Amino acid sequence: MKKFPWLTFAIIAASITIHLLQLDGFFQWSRGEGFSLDQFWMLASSHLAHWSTSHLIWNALMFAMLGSLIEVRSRKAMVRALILSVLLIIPAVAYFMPEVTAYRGLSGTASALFVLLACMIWKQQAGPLMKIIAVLAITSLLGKCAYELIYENAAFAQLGETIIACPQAHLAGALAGLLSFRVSGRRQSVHERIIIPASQGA
Amino acid sequence: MSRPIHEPQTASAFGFVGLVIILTAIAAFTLFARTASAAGLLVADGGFGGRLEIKEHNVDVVINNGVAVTTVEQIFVNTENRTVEALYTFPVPQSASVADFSMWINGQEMIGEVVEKQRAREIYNSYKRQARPLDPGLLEQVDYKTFELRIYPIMAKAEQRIRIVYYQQLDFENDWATYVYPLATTTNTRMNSNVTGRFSLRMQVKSEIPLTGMTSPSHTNDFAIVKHDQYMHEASLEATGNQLNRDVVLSFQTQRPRTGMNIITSKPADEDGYFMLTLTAGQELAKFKEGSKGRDYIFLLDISGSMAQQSKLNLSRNTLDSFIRSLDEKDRFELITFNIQPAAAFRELRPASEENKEEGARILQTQTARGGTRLTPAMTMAYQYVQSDREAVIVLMSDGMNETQERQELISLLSSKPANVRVFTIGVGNNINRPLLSQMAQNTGGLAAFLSDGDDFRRQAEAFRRKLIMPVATDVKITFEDGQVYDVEGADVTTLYHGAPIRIYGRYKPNHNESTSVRITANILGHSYDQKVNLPMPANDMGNPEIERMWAWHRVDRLLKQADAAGSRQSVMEEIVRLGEGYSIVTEHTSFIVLENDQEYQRWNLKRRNALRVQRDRAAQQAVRNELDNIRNASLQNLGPEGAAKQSEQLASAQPVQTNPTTPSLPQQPQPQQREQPAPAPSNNRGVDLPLPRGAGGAMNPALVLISLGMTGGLLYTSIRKKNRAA
Repeated sequence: MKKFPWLTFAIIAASITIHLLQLDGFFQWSRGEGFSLDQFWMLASSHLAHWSTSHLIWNALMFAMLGSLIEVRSRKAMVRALILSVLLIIPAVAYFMPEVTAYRGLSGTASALFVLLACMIWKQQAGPLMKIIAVLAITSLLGKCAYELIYENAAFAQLGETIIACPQAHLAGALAGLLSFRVSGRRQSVHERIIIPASQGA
Repeated sequence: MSRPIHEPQTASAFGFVGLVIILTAIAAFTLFARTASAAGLLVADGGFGGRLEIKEHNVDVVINNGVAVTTVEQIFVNTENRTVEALYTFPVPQSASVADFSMWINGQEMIGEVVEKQRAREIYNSYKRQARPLDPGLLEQVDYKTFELRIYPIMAKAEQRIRIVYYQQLDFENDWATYVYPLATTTNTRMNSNVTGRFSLRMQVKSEIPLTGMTSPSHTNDFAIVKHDQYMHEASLEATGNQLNRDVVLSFQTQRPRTGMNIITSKPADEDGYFMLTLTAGQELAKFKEGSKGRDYIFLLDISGSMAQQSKLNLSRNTLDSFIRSLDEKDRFELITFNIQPAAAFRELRPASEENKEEGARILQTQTARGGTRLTPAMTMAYQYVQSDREAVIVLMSDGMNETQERQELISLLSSKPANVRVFTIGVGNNINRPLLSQMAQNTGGLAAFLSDGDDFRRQAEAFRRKLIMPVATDVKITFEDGQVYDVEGADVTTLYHGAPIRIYGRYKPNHNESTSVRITANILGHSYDQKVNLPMPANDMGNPEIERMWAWHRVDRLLKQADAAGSRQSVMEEIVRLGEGYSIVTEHTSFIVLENDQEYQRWNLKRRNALRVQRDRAAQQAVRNELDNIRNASLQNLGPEGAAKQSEQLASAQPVQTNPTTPSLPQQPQPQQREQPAPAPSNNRGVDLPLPRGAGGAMNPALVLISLGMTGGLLYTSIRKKNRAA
């Protein structure tokens, strides 16, 4: 029986609630904060806050699509990707983007899920078309980030005059997705090596 | 038939013809004199004819972080063979506070004192009635646009030397500050004097924000400009009489890389301190794009008779033309000309296409100035164009010289404006109603700007348009958290435009930290902003004393505007006189009086407040000049042949420190403490960058969405295929 992607929808519901209650400012990450024990929660909460309704809608749609596809196949992989995203994205923004004073949005974690899904498709799908789609996905994400890094502008999208694109956050998310896939792969290999010989020995 | 019978008739005929010739000559001379312009207007008052000349006219300007201190020294010469009274009329520089009026009497400088206007006039007139009059001088602000200076007596063939000092806060437009020394004026229609003497103007600009340019739109080829380093520039001009028929305009540019606040303080020993706080939008905000929606512009061009003076209509036409040509294709515009009645050019809002812009330019060129001024019908017509779904901007180009009784009507019309309308006013020339134009803009959340005929109207039009497009922050509110700041002036400006800082003046009581916490809330390009910063407010700061008078001037200005809006000045007169006398500033209700010696001041029981204040001001200004001299000398060492730099350094270290060569006559009675003050070190401007809400949070773009859909679709397809196979 397929799992219901409740984690995905819980995260989206939380984001929508925060936005409707206008608490985005409270949950965002602000420079100078978030790296002490009592503020560590900001590293996670900042992903649930958004700059505007359109920002939320776009990110929520992507997250819903990607999160649902991953969670029904492997909730553990999704949780790993989210945890790694929380650990990597804000520190990357803080270090590589000194001009940024605040961060909000699900797009970094969505990038992690994007790469994770592409890797899963590459490994698990036999058809050439799907493999091409997987390669295209990762290439597109890297290309978008490169464009934004070079031209300091949101490629294809504009959030607003004081909000800038954050390719560093997307790259950190992509790395989180890749690491999550690698960890998933090793655990699966270990599981097969342990279980199969045991069953063979029975 | 005998000759004697015809002689009386011939004599009377000759007499009649002679009288006609004389009267014609007088009329012709007067007619030409009406239209002549000069460096102020100097006449010999109280008698028929009379010629005085300005033998020398030297202007020294020091601009220290946007506050200009202008020192004007003039020498008048009475070319007549009789004693005359000199009447010198000159226009009020924008936002100027006259801080000093001195006359040289018997070779000694006598510093004036500020007294209530009526009393000052009575004192002055009492000297005129004396058989052997002493030497009084009187400087009055006649109205919002004119100063008058009277000196009596000036003996036959004698010279009279005077000095006038005024302070100004320069306004920035798109990072350019413009200083105007007004020379073009026709404020007095009586006989003009010849301007035959030497005129020189020297300007030194010092800024904590880097200077990136300096130019003179009015005298491009006449100024020598030297850029000593990025914090100090200098310009110098010498001119002859025939070049003195237009304003001298100098502009300089500063660029603050990041949005932030700067503060300048003055804290005398025995009273609370004063500060000037500047909030500036930085270069990083200049990158942000304009909004996607266009705007509707309704241009109101004043074509009344008063606009024919000083080429005001010509300047207005050129500026409007530049403005219209800079509109974006998403914008729409209408052009309304008015005198006693408005006339719309298109009777609809036209898109800002090239064709419509050309037609607008053609209509502008056909306008001529005539008739009276009624602004209310024009403004009412402009409101009719406003649509609720688009932002509307009404741009008024006028000298504001409409009928006095219309003012109240206008103010109430402005208060009933539609919500999405802002009114921007552009005053042209020197003879304008600045208070009305400023109030109209302020009451509607707009801006007022003032153009001189020597200004670069294209740059000004572009700068103005940028402001209209980009109010960087709205609903700006600056509050002081520690409770030691009070009497704040200028905090009612709630819109920050790129290139046009917000300036606030106030008083403070220093605390043990010698700092205060300032909170700024605003809406910055659609996002709410709330930030606190600490700014220094020292317990002792003898530099920048001009801020004290600027604060007082702004306070007087606000009181006058409020009183005029209420319809009567009676309730604020006492406070205005108190501020004028206490801070030695000329207002419409206080004047400068100069008397021959200290005994005369004692006789009239006039306190020498200004003399003491001037002593402190000059010490601070000398310290600034010393610093500027050091910068200049340092840069000079890099010029000339190699090896000379080291020699210059040795020579410079051996030279004595320069002192102010002019020693004013100070009151003889002992004064407490201040007389022995050393020259204060110039206090540095202190600033802090504001961390703007530069948020990050990248968007998911359409390409990635498509690919995600592709992955989703592909996975669903393969799942369905597997099920079908399993089935």
